[in-house]
Amino acid sequence: MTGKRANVSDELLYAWVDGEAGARATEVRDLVENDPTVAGKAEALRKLGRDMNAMVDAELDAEPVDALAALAGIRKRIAVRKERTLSARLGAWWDDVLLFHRKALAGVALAAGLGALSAPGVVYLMRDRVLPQQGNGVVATSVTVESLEVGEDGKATVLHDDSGNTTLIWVDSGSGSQPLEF
Amino acid sequence: MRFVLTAIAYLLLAFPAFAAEPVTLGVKIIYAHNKATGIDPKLKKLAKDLSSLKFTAYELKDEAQLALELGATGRVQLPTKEWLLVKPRDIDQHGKLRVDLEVEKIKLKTTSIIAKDGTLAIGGPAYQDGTLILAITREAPKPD
Repeated sequence: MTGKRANVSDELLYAWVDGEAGARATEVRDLVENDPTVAGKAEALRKLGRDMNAMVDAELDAEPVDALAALAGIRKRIAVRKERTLSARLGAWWDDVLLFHRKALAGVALAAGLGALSAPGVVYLMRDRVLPQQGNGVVATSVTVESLEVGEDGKATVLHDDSGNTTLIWVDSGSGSQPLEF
Repeated sequence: MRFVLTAIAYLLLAFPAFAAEPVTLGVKIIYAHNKATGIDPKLKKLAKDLSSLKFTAYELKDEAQLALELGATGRVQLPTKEWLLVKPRDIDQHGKLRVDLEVEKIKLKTTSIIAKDGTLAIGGPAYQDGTLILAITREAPKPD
């Protein structure tokens, strides 16, 4: 994790994408307009936010509204997206992966996209997560991570097993160790 | 005096959390590393969970059973001399426990909801060329 891009930190860039860069908004905008790398990162973040919001909107618009079915649908679509990410390289046993950096909006965007609340340094995850089983059934997890906070340079990964009985929070505190097989 | 006792009794009936038995949480401190191969037999129930991590060996360094009142904080010392703090907060109508966990070493704070027999594992604290995994399981209270 580099933490810096040109003269703008990841944190500031994420805040700018979220419209919360405050007095430094102009500075960040100039960087985005003049640095293709920064511009690419900003666009990727925007797209993630749009995709997640569209995903939730689509589910919530479905009639009749069934919370469990909606969650299952969201979960399924997230799973499809994950197949295209590094997260999907985890062992097949782990069913659910949520990744975030404290400094990264990605996790916050994900949580926000799922209708949850977010605050600096804290990511509130869905309270009643469901996991797919074989066929069309779902199984509720025995553990729900309601809020999670790690240190400034920390990165946390939340994984659920396929039975739903065990949840693992893996914290990479920035030491460079990464025991998960990404 | 009788009125006060009666009032307390009503309160206990109205708010079962006040009268709830201590919450029982099993804590296992697991040392995961690649210096050997194998898994501690006492970790049999968690073996499947752990097998997806890329470590080759899992040793049970310590285990404890915490019986905590709601709102009380339990502490478990890690081999690194740091502390795991456990604070059960409340139990919802479905019997699920909301619990605060904190591991100072990795600056982790979480509030999680654990159903009966559910396990929340926290991995990440570095220890002797490996990593500690803290497994907290909501256990049924043992009969007297």
